[in-house]
Amino acid sequence: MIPLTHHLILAAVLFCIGMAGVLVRRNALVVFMSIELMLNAANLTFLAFARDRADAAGHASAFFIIAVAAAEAAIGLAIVISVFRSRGTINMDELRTLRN
Amino acid sequence: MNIPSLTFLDFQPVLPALLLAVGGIVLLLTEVFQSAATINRAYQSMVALAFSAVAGAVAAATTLEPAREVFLGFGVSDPFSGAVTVLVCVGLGLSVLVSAGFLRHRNAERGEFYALLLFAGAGMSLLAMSNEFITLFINLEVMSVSTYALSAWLRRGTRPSEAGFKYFILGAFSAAILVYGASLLYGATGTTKLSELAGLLPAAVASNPGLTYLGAGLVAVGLAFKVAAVPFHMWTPDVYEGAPTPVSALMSAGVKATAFASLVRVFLPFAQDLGPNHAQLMTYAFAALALLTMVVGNLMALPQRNVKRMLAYSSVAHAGYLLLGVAALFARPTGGEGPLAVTPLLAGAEGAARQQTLQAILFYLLAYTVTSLGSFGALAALERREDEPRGTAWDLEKFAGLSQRKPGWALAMAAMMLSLGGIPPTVGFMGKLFIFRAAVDAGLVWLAVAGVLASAAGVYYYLRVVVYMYMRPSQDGVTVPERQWTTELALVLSTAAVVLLGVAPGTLSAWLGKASVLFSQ
Amino acid sequence: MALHSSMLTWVNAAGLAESLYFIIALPLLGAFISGVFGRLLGRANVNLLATAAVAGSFMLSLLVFAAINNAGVTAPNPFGDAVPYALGHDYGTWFAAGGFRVNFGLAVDHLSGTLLLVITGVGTLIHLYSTSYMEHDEGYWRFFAYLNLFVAMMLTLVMADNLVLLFVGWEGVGMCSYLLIGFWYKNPAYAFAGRKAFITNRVGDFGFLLGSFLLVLMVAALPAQAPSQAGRLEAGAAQVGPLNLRGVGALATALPYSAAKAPGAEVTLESRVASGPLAGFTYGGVLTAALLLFLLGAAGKSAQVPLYVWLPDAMAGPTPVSALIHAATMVTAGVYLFCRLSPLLVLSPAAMATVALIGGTTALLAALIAFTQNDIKKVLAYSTVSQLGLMFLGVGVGAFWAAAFHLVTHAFFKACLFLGAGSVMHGNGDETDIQKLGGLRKEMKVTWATFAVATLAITGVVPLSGFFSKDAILHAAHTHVVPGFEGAMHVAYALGLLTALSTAFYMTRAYVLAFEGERSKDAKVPHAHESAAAMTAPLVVLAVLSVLGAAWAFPLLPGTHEPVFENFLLPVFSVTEQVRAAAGTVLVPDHAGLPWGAYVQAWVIALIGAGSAFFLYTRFFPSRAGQPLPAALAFARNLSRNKFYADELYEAVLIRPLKFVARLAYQVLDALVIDTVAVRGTAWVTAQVGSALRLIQTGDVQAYAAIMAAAALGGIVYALSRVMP
Repeated sequence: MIPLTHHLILAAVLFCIGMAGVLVRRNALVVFMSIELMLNAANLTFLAFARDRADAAGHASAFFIIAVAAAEAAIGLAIVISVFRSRGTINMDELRTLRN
Repeated sequence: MNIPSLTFLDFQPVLPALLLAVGGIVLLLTEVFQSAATINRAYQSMVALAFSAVAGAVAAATTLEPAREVFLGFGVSDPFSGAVTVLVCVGLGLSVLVSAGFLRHRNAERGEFYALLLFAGAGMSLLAMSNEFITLFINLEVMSVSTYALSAWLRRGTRPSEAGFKYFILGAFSAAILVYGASLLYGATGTTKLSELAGLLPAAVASNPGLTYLGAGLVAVGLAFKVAAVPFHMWTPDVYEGAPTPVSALMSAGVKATAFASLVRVFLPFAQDLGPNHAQLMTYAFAALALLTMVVGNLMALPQRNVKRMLAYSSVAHAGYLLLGVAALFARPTGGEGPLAVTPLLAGAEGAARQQTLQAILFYLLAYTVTSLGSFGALAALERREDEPRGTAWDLEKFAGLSQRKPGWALAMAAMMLSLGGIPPTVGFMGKLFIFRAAVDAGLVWLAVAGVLASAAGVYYYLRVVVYMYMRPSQDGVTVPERQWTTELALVLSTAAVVLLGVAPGTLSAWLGKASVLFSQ
Repeated sequence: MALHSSMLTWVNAAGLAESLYFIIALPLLGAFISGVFGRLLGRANVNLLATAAVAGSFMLSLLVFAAINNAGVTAPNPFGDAVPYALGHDYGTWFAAGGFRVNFGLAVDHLSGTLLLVITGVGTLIHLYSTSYMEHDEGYWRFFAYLNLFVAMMLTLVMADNLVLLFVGWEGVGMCSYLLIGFWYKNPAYAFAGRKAFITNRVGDFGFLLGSFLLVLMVAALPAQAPSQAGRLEAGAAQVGPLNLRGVGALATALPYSAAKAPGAEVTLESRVASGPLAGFTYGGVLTAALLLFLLGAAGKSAQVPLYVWLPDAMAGPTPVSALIHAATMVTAGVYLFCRLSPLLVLSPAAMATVALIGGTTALLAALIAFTQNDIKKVLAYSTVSQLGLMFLGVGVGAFWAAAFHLVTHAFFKACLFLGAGSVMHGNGDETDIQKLGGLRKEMKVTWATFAVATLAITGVVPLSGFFSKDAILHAAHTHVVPGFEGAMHVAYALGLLTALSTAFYMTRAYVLAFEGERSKDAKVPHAHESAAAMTAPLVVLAVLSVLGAAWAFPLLPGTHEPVFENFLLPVFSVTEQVRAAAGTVLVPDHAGLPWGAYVQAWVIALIGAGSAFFLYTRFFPSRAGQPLPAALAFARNLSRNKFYADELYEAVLIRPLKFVARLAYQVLDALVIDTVAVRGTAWVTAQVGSALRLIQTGDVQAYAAIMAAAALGGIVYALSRVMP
């Protein structure tokens, strides 16, 4: 059986990859996917602990997080589309009208 | 197998949220029966207003009931959550009033707008009651997803969609941080319920301090984002500027109030059950956040000529004063062990003192809600849609000579500016008085002094608006938008509240005294 | 007294006490009506309404004043025995938060009663004067609304029976002052002057607030530590809150000065606070800190060093405003505050010495600056700063009645001077440069006569009121002994004497240049015209009062050597006297008849100052040298013969150094240090930091996210480093 720490380290690595993606990628969709990665890191952590303790609460938590992530995806994609409509691009660097 | 049973008593406290949600659904359904030819949406704002008012009244009744756990401990119903819901409903109602004129003027009145406002309100109300991390996360998202959509509502120019996008990216980012933090805390303690967390924390901190602290820190970051604490505030000015003004108003009032409620509720167990050293560290963390937020918020508002951005930074600064109150709540010193030793919350003499602090926070939230709604409302009344794409719609010059063109609006705006600046006889002054007093009582004297100095700097940019309204001649060719009675009603209501509560805050003290009770084990 | 009682049988004292709020409500209502309906009502109605509102207040004040001269009249006092010779009413809780409560209470005793009469009386005269002065101004309704509002706020300040309500008035008068200084807001310099006044005042206001916080904390800490001493204080504070003015006296009474003076006391000023946020500090230290914070507040409102800079600029407002707000009433609020805090002040010799030195320094500095001012309103403004300094000097040496007396006489003669200056401007095409006036004695007879009387009064010539009030302060500075701070008191006394000399000089100079001699060739209008009766009548009344005010300085009462006014204020300062006597911080010699020696000394000083200025500016200077010299002045003739040489000498020995000092004081201290570095410098640095911070807000979402991540990482790493083994 894979020990708990392995799962946790994997989740932490996923979280960091996701965070780095948010910080450096230029394409809005990729940034968005990176955020999903961070959420899934949380899922993995919940599940790992839940399995380790044989506790149902963690399992249930993961389902709720997945559901919420789906809702977020819906609204996020709609916003990305509206950005694309108004500017013709979804490059993060060009979204700088609001500043100072 | 133990099947949990829910009774009416579980549902009764969430009635305000249910009402708001039902209101939203009703609005969406009536939209179906509109035909393109005879379309008339004037009723929608009234429906939304009615649902907010009824929900607010129901929530006000909740504040008089004793605190208890509902839904098997996933939520709590206590006077504090009831009071926050009342604040949310007040904010919603005023925001709806301002929106009615604002949207009609821009041909942007569609049914989903009010539905989204009401859904956001339902999320806020439930967030104030959430007593478990996943419930908290879901309600936070219900609130956030609605506000993401609302901030990108207008389809004119590039600003609204950019604001929505920024809010969405950063909001989702911070939510992911929060939920990862929650998962780590779950790992450290084995529970996601705040009520169970309290008892398990000491052992968790002793055996696994790293995991506990990392988890708590990440959760704090997620909530600090919602309250717009520096340095997690960067989204605030951009989003407030790009979002429709009534939505900015609701974000600065409702979102902030509920996020603060949640912050207090989540970190209560930490202040309650950890040893003095940990509690002291936590107090310092919040004190540092408060200091940074007050100073940076005020300093950045100083050079703004764009009044909407100025109000956004001002909302950051006010989050700082509130954080000062939160730090005071956690820092109640006792005579015994060390300067910042902590006793169980809300019990005995120290509990009474903490309740005072909580009351000060609640009063400040109320003060800021009406003042913020009023100032954004006046701004909404004044801005013209033609200017929006250029970003000059909110320039200080637009306020020049307003006292001659629209003396009533100018008076309302002046009252709001005085209140934001903390000048008597306004509610903002009383709010600051209570908060700073609580901080001094809790031994955070220097932080209170810093707060007073920071708010002194704030007076400058608030008064500048007043100077423009009363002491500068109008620009050539400036026209005043047509009258919108709903907006003016909102202005009258908020001005009356600002002045009356400033002159006689005692009228509410009985209610606030009852309402500032948090559920605790 | 018997006469009073029989006169007042028809006045129901209890009913009068309940109706005290009418005194405030009348001008408040006037302000509301003028402000909202002013344009509809028209000029004549607004004039009538605004003046009548204040006059009505004056009538009520007269009634109240008559009532409190009745021996049987008392005001309730939750902190102990009822207060004699006072009326008061508590309208109930204003707001409360936990143990802290503030009641909405008004009270009038002999001190506030006198000030009520001054505020409403001088206020009525100035309203009357303004009806003529503002007859060509379009903003008349705004003006009268502000002016009425100011009177209401000033009355609130004076009648408040607790520091919080007093602070409401305090802020209110500050706001009205701001609105009125910037009344002609189309001139950016005037608008700037308004803002400068407001911001400088706000700096002081925070001192006031923090001082109040410290008092509250002391009142909260005392009962637990000294239950037997603080019994009455605790009971009273539970009823009307810790910041009640009677509570100030109760706090002072509950705190003995030292263990040596009160053996067996549970707590003295030397003990340390046992609990609460102040734990570890001594009561005496906290008290001194609180008083110094209040001093900062008072310095802002009353234009003392280092916050005096706003007052000269405040002359941008219409002249009646300068007379009412910036001479007679608002600027004296600091002195009033310290009279109210006097029971605590006498417990802190260090704070007393600071107040005295600040007052003395301000008095002399402002007088020196006034030497070189040519704008008549600026001369009067610096003169006001200087006279306020003298009042603070009086407070600092423990002569509270003398400070209050000078406050009253100053209100009369300075209002007269300001209104006279306004009349001069009105008759000379708004000319304010005294070098471009001259010879008005013949053309504006009433203005001349009243201005001359007021000048004599401020100069300190026997037997006008200013002589006695100023002398009372200087006499106290000379004879009162504050153990441990004798040196500071000697310095303060010397500063006071020099100020008296300088005052005589510059006031005579201003008077001579404006009214004596020939009309200047640079005058704006060839012939000045005397102002209308609405303007001259108040001048005459004020000039008469400047003379008659002296009557209060004589020991007219049978069986005592005290001057009438000191005797009159005894009930107000009785607690202060008890505390002072018990603590032994100020030693006051017994009265032994009138201080004739001091009178002669003061009179000689006034004579030297006024005489030399009169001589120099009418006879001596080249521009006036054409006139023949009277034979009596042999010494002057000698100098006159060597005019060129003496002129140079005089320039080099007296005028140049004086001008230099004055200019130094003005430019270095006033313009550079305070205006540029302190006021603008702070604002500039703040604005620069704000602008620099804007650069962080690049608009790039990923930069925002990176800052969030970095901050979170930093915070969490720091926290972990603290808790991880």
